[in-house]
Amino acid sequence: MSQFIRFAVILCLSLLISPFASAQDAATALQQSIQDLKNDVLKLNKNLFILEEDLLFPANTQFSVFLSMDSGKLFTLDSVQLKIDEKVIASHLYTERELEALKRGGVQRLYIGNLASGKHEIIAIFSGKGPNKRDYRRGENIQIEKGSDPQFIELQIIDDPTKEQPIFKTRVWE
Amino acid sequence: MMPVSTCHPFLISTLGLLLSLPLTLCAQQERHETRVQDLAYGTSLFHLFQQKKLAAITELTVADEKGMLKNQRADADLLLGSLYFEYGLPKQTADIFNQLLEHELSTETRHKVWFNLARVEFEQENFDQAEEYLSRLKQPLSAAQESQRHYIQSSLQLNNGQLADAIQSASAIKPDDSWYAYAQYNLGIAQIAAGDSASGLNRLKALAELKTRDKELLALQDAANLVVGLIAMSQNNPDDGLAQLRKISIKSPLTSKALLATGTAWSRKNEPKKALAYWQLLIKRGQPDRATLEASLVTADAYEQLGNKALAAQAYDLAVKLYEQQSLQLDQIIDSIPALELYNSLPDDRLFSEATIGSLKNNPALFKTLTTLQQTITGQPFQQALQQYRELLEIADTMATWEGSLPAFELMLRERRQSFTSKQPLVEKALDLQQLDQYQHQRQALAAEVNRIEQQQDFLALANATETDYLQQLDEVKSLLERLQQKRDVTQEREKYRLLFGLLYWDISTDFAPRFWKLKQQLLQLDSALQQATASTLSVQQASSRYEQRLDALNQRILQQESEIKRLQSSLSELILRQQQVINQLAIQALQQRKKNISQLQLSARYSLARLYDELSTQSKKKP
Repeated sequence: MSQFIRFAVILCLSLLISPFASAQDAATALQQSIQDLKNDVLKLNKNLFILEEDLLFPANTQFSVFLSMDSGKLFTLDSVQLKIDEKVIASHLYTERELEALKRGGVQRLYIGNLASGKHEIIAIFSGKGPNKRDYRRGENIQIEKGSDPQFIELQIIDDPTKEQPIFKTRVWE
Repeated sequence: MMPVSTCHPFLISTLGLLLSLPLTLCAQQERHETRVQDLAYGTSLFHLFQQKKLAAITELTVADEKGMLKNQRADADLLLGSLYFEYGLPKQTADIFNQLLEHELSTETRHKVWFNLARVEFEQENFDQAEEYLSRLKQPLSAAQESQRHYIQSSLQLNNGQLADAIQSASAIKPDDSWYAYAQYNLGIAQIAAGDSASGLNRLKALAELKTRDKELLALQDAANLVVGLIAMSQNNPDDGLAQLRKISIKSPLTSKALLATGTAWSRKNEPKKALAYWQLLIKRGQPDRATLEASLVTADAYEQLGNKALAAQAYDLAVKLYEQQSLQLDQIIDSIPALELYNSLPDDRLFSEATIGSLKNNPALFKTLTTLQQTITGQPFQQALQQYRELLEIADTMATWEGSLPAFELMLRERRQSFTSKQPLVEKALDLQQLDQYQHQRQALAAEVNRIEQQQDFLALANATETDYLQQLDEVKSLLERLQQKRDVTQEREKYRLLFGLLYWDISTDFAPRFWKLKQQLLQLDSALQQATASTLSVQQASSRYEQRLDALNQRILQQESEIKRLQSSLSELILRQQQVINQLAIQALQQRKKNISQLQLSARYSLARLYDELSTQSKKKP
């Protein structure tokens, strides 16, 4: 076999490709230690998040607002402002990455805070580009009655192809 | 476009997206096919789609702990299992999927779990288990998963040496699916290795003709073109080889090999000048790779073949010097590896685009090292080690953030405790059970009085304020009459007194029943109010005690997490150092291997040079 053919064969073998990550030696002590650490860190992370929520947002006053959208073809969200009882509690300017994550079906936790029991008025102001890339600003007014359980509100931005307009809906999660 | 390493096919396919290859998957940004029925599932996806795996995992595990995954538990577990796998925790992944199988699942979900387990085992190179899980699949999966299933099946069959079966399995993958390209490549190489080079070459040629703009697929096509070109030349078909080699991108990591091979092809066609042009171009590019080093040697060979022995001797001499210089440079690079901190200075761009390489030029030492090590760095073992190192750094960041948050948690808790303590006097006042006892005694006395009124039919006891006033006045009149009757006749006045008292008594007595009923109602209301007061007092007492216990428990949790963070930070520091050593070691090993190659080339060049000098010297001796 000529040197050239040997080279070709070696190259062929070295070019066998798999799109999967070929597993390194998972049995090595270092890898095992890293896996153990990761597992511990995930548990720690979980515990600390729960602790943080328990400290900052006790269940009886906890109030969260989420935001979701469907294809986002009729409305490109730039920002959202959230008011509770006429007081601005959250504003968010969207990055391209966040918008893509929303369009792909992700749900954003826009706000988490505390709210006293009773009736409250929530106003969400959506700004962005509407149909035909025109500036679009829309306010949604929601009346809620906060009880003693945590409350979750989802703001939904939905494309309405029949009207060629975005629809803004609210869902109160039980 | 997002980096490949952050968008793993395993995860995406688990999510059932109608996509196939890493870069394409990210670029196309398809909508997730499972409807969100639990908010935590949706928020986890939101993090995942931004490549924040740790946050995505945390979202699901927190929601699980709080019982907030009531509507799509199986979907959440499927997602969590995939996220764990992405995060390099295969055991936990398999545990989640296996636990999921213990529950009552829809046939579709059960198939998804089996399929995911097959992929986990396949990636872990547990091929028997992977085959076992694949054999359980009795119904079609989603389109993307079907393609991947056939890819895995085909790869497993290739691994078992069942080439015909592997070809059959791969034929089920649609050509527009990216799994198709990988399957075709592997099949092509396997066919060549098995001796059926005609079929293998045709397969690779077809793969190279696929229309694509995907970077990874283009790189795969370059590899296919190179293999086809080399095999064609090894079969004495340099024209075919050249045609194939020309298709390789000039910016490919395989360009040096392609230039070397192109020169060789021209040499085979007895066109040494053209061959030299390619090799010299290769040398001029100055890439510190093996092909470039070999070019120096083959250039000298070519001069020799052209009969220009003096030029050949000069070229061999240059090659020897170049190899010496390269060898010294490699020593320097090896020495500089620890100080260069490759693990921190490497770019995120795994494919080392031109722009990335350009951006490194302001750091010559790093630039030299990275270009020398490009093939090693872009290889799987190095990339895995690097990714693991970066994950450790991410963990360190997370820990530092939490560590920084703990004083705030403690402050918050202190303030709550202070607020609680400041309200204690009020609470204690509210919890005064002695006062409640007094009220109870008063109530008992009132009840006894009501009882007496009823038994004695003491109508006057229920007189209202005006009547009581009248009764009092009448009483005074009566006393006055008793005093006056000794002085004069008061019969008339007495009669009037009797009449008025009678009238008043009549009024009061006839109204006794409703008044008594009202009184009893009031007594019942008092009972109820006292009961409520007792219950409220006890409730406040319990709440106060519970609150205190809760504050203590929160304090305990903060302390526990504090010590856990310290413990993990200590092992994390050690692991980071060890991982840095692993990365350095991989780089040094590659450089040492390169040195070995250079020594072989150097030996060969020195031998050729000596031989040539010998021949030249013999020739000169022969001359008269």
